[in-house]
Amino acid sequence: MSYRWNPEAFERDLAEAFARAERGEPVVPYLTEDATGGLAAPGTGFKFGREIEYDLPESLKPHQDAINQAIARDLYDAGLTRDPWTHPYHTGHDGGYYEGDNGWRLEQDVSVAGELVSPPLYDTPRTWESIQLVCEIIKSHGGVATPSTGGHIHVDTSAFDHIPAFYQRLLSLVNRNYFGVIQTQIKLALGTVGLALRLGDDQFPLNHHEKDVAGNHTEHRRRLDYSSYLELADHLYHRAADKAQLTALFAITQWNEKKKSPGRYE
Amino acid sequence: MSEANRAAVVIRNTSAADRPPAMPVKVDGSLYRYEMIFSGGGSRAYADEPDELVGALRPGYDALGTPEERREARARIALDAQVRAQAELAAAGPLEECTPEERAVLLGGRHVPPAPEEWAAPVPLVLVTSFYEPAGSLPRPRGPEELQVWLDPADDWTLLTSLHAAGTIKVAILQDSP
Repeated sequence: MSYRWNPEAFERDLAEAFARAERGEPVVPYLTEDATGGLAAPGTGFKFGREIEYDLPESLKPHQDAINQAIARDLYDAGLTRDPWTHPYHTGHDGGYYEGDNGWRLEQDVSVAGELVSPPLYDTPRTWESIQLVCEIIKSHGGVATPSTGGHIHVDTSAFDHIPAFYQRLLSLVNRNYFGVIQTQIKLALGTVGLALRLGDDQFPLNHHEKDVAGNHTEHRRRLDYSSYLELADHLYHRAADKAQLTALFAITQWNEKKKSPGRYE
Repeated sequence: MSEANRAAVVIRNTSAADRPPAMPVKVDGSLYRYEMIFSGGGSRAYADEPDELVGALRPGYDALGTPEERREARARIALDAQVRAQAELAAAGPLEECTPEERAVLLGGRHVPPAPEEWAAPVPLVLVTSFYEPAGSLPRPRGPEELQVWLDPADDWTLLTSLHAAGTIKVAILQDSP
């Protein structure tokens, strides 16, 4: 099912996302079986990792250490971590990530209240259950997502080997442009890595050979011009459920205005 | 701190829209000699010695026992950085102005070091010094200097400064450092 050939399918998915929001239901669906359509299948797909940052409301910040200890204890009791402690920032990166179901690690992060670092993951029901459980434990102790919190998604690009062409395609794709959101973001990262491997040179750049720079989507949405999104969704996924999920994320995404200076550092 | 557990202090970087993060200090309250921004701008490392910064780039580097092992680890850092830096330069363009032969050199696998006799394409070529004269056996490509980006893993400091020059990391020295 192609969005570009069936724009009514996109309109329907978009309308359903807004309807779920109006009903107070989770806007982005959460899948637990074959959620990535093989992109992250054990043994043949891309391995990935996810960092989940959380913060605390002002009223709870004086108790941050105690709350983090309680979260660490609950994570351990749930079989998600190997110890009931909070580790220094970057412990996983510096010392190596744990493997296995209990390989999550709670790390300190000075910019927010704390950060959960996942073990290397594949698309299994256990993975999605773990992410759901992690979020529920954080929320149960008052942890919240705020504009300050984020979460890196790591996708194993060892399939790119030492070939600049794949990274160049990935960069070209990237530059163009609570459970369910996390899962869909992971799938978006996985799909983009897969696309860099799959597309041919003659298919670049997408979007009618026009650069789709950051900030464009704000203007596109004002004009109800979804063409670049429809093309991307069609390239990323072939399953209707994946496109519908991505469209739900699209529906609730607040697009940034164009920035005058694209550089991150002065 | 003993020689065995010397390691850079790594903190998360803030975005350009925010204030820079507070710089960590040593036990005596003084600042570290070096600051390095890495991981695509996502992290900052602070240390007094270059090898500690290299250890932040390649966890486990400080535990390597022999100079040969360290040399090999630095070469791997350079090779990984070469692929990513080359991809970024190619993505920035103008790749469309390159010939098919030049595109093949830019985007081809780095399992074998690229060895064009001359490089004058509009996209710079990233090279690792280990494979070219005088450190290696390949002749250096002729052509404008500004179209060749060299990564030099000969020692810790040359690696860091060459990665800095290539734009992969940023290294700064404390201004009033001895």
